[in-house]
Amino acid sequence: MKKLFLSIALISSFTVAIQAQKYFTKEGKINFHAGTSVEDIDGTSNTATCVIDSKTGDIQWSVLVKGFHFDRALMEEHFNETYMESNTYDKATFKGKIDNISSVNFTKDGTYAVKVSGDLTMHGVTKKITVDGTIAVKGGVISCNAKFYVNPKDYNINIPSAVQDKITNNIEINVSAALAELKK
Amino acid sequence: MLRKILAIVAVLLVIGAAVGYYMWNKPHRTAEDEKPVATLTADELFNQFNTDAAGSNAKYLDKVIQVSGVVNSVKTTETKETKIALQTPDEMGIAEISVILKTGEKADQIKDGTTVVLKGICSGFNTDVELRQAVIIK
Repeated sequence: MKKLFLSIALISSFTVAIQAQKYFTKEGKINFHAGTSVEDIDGTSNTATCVIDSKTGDIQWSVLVKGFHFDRALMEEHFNETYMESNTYDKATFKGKIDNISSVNFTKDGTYAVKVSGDLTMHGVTKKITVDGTIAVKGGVISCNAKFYVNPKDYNINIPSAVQDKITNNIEINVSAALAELKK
Repeated sequence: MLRKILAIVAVLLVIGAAVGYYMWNKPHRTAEDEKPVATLTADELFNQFNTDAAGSNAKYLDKVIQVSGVVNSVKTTETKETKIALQTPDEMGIAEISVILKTGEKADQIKDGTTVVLKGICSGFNTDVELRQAVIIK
């Protein structure tokens, strides 16, 4: 009887030990290139929030549009006022899942290729996207990186004809974050 | 007559070029020279956004606000910006008032645990309440 009780206790504690662990950062980096050969148009934010649930594979990103910085003040203004209309749509978000979460071992140092699918919402429009990325585990820190492309037209972002040669239809977006365990 | 017209056109072109050059190279808007629409403590600012995000956005988004609070940390970001984080009453101990200083504003004298007064442009509320292009008042 004692042995059974002990086994149950051990199994329960083991299960708890591998329970869902959430990883979090509010210093995620998002950088995009929207320019063409005419000129560079690069915006960066260092205050993106990213949360990953290592058990379910749920992954969420959110970032304030006004937190993107451009070298040129005029570009930053146009980005906010004309293209993203950030007074109305203050955030860009991604809600999705790491499709192959079971192949990622969050407790073992290593680099894992992942496929992520979910909803990207920008400028009030939500679209399903699939992204290839990597998750690296090292010393308890989870680093995730991904690069993908978006067409501004898909998000009702209106590019005036006067600047159509300046802004690409294939905007490159790079995301990277170092996440730590979210202690309850 | 033609000479007069050409002269006027030339002047207009020069003015146009000057305006274009200025716009192209104009400096970023910062909180330095603007009066704040509100002066709050970090606690008040957090509580307002936490309880009514839409209402707070309407009041503060893209506006200059002055906030006082206790410094949790002073960091340099990857893009070489100085970021001061102020304490909030967030139960989860995660949310802060995250203030990015304008280029050139030095924070060497700011110590963790002390109270500071900062003035910045509000970018909104995500995990933190975020201010940008800020200056140190005291």
